[in-house]
Amino acid sequence: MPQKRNNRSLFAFDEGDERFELLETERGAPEKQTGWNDSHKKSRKAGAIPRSVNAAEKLLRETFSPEINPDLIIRRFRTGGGTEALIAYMNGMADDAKINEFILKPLMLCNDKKPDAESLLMGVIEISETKRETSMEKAALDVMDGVTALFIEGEKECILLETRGFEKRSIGPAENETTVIGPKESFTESFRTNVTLIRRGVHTKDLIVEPRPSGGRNNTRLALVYRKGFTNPELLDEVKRRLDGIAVSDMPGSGVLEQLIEDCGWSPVPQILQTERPDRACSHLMQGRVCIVVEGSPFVLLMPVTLFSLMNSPEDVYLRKPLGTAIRLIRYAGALISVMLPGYFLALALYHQGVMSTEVLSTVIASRKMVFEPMGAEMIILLMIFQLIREAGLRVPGSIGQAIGIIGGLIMGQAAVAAHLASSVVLIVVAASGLGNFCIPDYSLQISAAYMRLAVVISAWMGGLLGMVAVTLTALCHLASLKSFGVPFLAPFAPKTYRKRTLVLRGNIGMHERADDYANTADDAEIWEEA
Amino acid sequence: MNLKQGRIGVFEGVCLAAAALCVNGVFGLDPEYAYSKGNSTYLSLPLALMLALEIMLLLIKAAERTGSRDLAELMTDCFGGVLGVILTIPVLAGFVFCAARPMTAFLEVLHRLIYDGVGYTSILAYVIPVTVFIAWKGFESMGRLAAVFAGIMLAAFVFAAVSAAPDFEVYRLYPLIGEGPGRFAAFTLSELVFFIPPLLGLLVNAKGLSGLAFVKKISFRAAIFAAVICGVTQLCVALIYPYGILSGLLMPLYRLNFLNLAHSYALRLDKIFIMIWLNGCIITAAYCIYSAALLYSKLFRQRDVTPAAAAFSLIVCGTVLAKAGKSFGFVYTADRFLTRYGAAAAAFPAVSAALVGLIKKRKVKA
Amino acid sequence: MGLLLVITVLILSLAGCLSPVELDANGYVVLIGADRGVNKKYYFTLALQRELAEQNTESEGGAIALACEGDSIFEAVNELEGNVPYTLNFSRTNFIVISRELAEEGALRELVTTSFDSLRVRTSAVVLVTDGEVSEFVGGMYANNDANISKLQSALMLDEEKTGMVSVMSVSRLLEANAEGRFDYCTALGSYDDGIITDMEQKKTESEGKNPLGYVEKGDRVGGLKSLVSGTALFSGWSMTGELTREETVFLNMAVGDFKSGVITLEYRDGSTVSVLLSMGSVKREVDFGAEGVKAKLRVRLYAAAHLADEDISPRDMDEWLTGDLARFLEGRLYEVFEKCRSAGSDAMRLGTELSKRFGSAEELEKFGWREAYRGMSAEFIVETVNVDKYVSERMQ
Repeated sequence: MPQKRNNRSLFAFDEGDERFELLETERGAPEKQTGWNDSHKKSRKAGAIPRSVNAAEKLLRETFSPEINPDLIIRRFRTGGGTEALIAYMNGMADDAKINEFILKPLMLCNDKKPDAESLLMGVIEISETKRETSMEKAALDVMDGVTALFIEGEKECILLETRGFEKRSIGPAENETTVIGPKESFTESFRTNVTLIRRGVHTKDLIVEPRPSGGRNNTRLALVYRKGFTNPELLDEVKRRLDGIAVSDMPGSGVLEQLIEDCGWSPVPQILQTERPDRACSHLMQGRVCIVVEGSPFVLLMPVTLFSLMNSPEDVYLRKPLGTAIRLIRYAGALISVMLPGYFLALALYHQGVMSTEVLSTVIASRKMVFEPMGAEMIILLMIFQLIREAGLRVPGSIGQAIGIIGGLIMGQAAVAAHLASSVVLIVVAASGLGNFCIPDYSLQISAAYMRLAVVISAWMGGLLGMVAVTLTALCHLASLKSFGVPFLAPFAPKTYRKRTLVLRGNIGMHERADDYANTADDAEIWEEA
Repeated sequence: MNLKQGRIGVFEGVCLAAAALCVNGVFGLDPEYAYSKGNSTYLSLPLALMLALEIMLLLIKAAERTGSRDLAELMTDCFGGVLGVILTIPVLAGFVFCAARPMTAFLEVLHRLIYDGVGYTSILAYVIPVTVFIAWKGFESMGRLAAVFAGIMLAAFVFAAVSAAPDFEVYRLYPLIGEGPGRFAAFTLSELVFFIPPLLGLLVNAKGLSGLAFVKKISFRAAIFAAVICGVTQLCVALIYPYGILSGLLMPLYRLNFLNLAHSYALRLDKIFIMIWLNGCIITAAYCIYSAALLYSKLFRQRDVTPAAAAFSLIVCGTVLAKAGKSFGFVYTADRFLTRYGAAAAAFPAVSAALVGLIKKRKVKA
Repeated sequence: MGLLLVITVLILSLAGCLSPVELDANGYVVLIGADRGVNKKYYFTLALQRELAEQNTESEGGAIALACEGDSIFEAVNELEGNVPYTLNFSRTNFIVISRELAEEGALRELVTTSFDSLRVRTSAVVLVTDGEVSEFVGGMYANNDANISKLQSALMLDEEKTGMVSVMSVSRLLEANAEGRFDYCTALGSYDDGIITDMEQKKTESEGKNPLGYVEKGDRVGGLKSLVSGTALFSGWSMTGELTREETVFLNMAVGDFKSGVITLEYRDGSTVSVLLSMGSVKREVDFGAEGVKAKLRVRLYAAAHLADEDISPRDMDEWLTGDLARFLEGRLYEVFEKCRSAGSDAMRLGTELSKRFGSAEELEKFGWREAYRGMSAEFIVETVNVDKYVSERMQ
């Protein structure tokens, strides 16, 4: 697994394929899983549902300790025919009204002397989503999730009734991936809501929502979403294998899961896309990618991704071609400015003054007349202050955050220039670079670009353009070697793949007929067969 | 799309090989030798490339005939273990030469024209770690990196050439083939030393290129592309500086815009361009080091190529320092000798392996 | 991976910084001037870009002039750097001005070949030769209170490029001329014109109630390099051996093909004066050598348009004059200029470049001895003038 990968892998690039965890050299399909967790498998026998309601109650009390844990409600009652029964549910997680109206009331009015699970489900209980369960472990897990468990005297299985009714946040607009044109919905912390949002966007019969164990001891619910028969099965198997390899004490959400299954943990660049936009998730699913929805996380994970897919914004396709193209070009230019401009300016100013025109030279010299620190230090300090303002703006509530931006950006900048702590030209360079950084649509990529910028500045300070060459070439070499679930990070440019879609320019929507070549979807297989 | 680990596609392969060929053809030349008696490099370089391609195609044919999967196998199949290894030594030396020669030229330019008073060692300390890093990262990353930089390097060259175009003068080309036919032919043959090793690198990495059929395709395309680029580059240089100036000029391509007063920022980008081309030089050096290391590892049945890569990096680094610093006279003499007669040493193993392979009885390997 | 990163960082740290220099630690030399020294070989004048903050003062424009004597430019730079609080940076040097005396002695060879790479001066810098004191000429160049010297220099050059009335060449061409010997270098011959008023003089003359150039409100210089140039300095090898007047320079440029457009005023048949607007068509140059020596034939095609001030002159007569008399006049003038160049031993018309096409190998070319052959060379100039107005009137009919 990636997190267990031997460090020697770097020094063994010519070794056999078996050394690498590849899509092509997989060791068969991963083990089939049927639910959110696999912990019940180990103790299935010990946790079988007892036929007696008393025994069931005892087991429940042992499991949940209701005397000190009042959240668990155990309600014993007799059916209209006099049979002993028991329901158990979590207070707050389940909907009381639903239980009273559609479970307790019909059961108490049922005159059947010897009711069994089958007859109750067929003719008495008025709940649509039900399930019969023979494992006490699994029943207990479902109860923790808001499901109501019904135990009938003499029955060897319990009935699990869908009564989830906990409070949840309503669907709101996306906060991080905002667009002017396009849907305003975003994912919430509710697993079911998120799946529904995806299903509303992908109306295909082949859409599968497959529950998988998360590997965390907190049994976080998690599901793989993909298009069966269309998505590359080897990619799917690889994702499942990586999920199976996870063993952590706590799986709080998608951010942690991303780190546990990505290819290269130390890389500053994300290899999995986290999105809060259902339309983006749906678009990627239609492209043959795999999506992971995690309970409690308003972001879903999409894989595999490339640098270019991280640089795309959902808005690109909502706008007409010329506008979408213009915006994309500005975004790429912004990213380039963000990473390279401060370092480039510093390199020219400290080492290659002949490249700058005399006008610029005299302007910069005049602006730095009384500034005490060296230009390199000045640049780094301003970049750090910019990061400070940004972090502060993010962590405080909306209106205060905006105020911090204004105070930090305008007032502090002006004051710093007036106090000769910074020169106006360097301030402009840093501000332009900061603005460029905000053009990058992915938050993780924004942060990595910001730190890459710092590395470029330091290298430019140390070695001018040569230093910049050393750092950018090293970084690009890293990007070229990086993979996201077997797909090279710089695809479809390097390696060049068959593609109808334009890479940076936004081509015609008609070009979007086929999925990207590197996704190796069923379409590709058909094309190969035809060839 | 083929997602196999350690393998690159045709596009990346062409970019990598073409970059190595162009960097050697444009920056590796010894100006004193190349331009002393007239300038016809814009003809001789493409011709030499075509010759090198012909040798390469013969080698591939021989490899197909003997059933060898790469150069190491071909050498041992054709000459047996001991002789194969002995004949591979010039090939390894060729890789070192092709890695070191352009890097020395860049080091000289950086030291003399861009970084005032900065020692060779300090400059090299920025270049060598990156080269080693790329070589260690392997063929896949290297190929992709070449694909990323191919366009940028080409754009830099086109921009430099177009901005210098108003100063082009045809009279500077005269006397056409000023060296006379005999020297022209000798010079063309001598340039093989710059082109055979980068092409052989493809055969060394045949597995990474998904087999001999792809090696053939890539060699052909890369050689044609490089012939055009080398020819056009040398033509541009020849249209700006006559041979009398060129023979004493350090890296003429750097001075393409030095003929007329350039006030505008865009026309003063020569330092930026040299840095862009330096990327190509580093990738070329990494490619040559990796190819040499892989060939060595395969010949001596080493599973891990990195120790050999480290050793070859050190050799290249030492050679560059010794040549640039002029600290060891024999290195300087050896370099002069190799630029003039090294082609024979580079071509001999390749040509002999091709001939033996073609004469030998056809073998089919499992 | 971590190990590799640590190694890289360590190596880079050991390599250290590649000597960065803060922007304000440099003084940017935009012009180098060289005169004959009194105590030492040369008297150097360096013009530096004045930084913005200082430019609001009443000063001599955007330049600071530094002057020093030295036996070489290195000595002078060394001396000057000891007296100014910054290092001199030559990466933005665009002009090199040398006095006529030094140019005639061939001092350019020493100045250009030894200093350029070491001082990091771009070989695209332009050389000017000046009559009189270089320091005075330099002062005149920037004495118009223009804050942006670079732009001023650019404007001067642009003017030259647009008209082709002045001959200017870069150091690259000087090196080429002397390395190859296919042609000879020539460049603008400067002279300090007292008529060009500076801001200070403007104020002075205004206060005295007389303005030498009444239409100039602020006293800025009008025009480009032409106003500073009196003609062309002809070189034979490294030494200046002759000169052409400003008018002759136009003909030199016509023969070379550098001329773009300009006005010449001539006497018409009836004695009246006519202004003719000439613009360049094409130049075809043929140079061949045989038993009787080297022969050159230049065919120049020009477009001409005349201003008909006198209503008595008919368009037909004017057409005849433009295509006949004018062409012969131009041929004569071209030949005169050629003769002048030849007598100075300077192939400023770059005929040798054409001749070099006749040789099969570099050795033959080098053996030929172009300079000797040039002295006995014969030339023929054929000028074809096309009356542009004629076509215009025909089209209108």
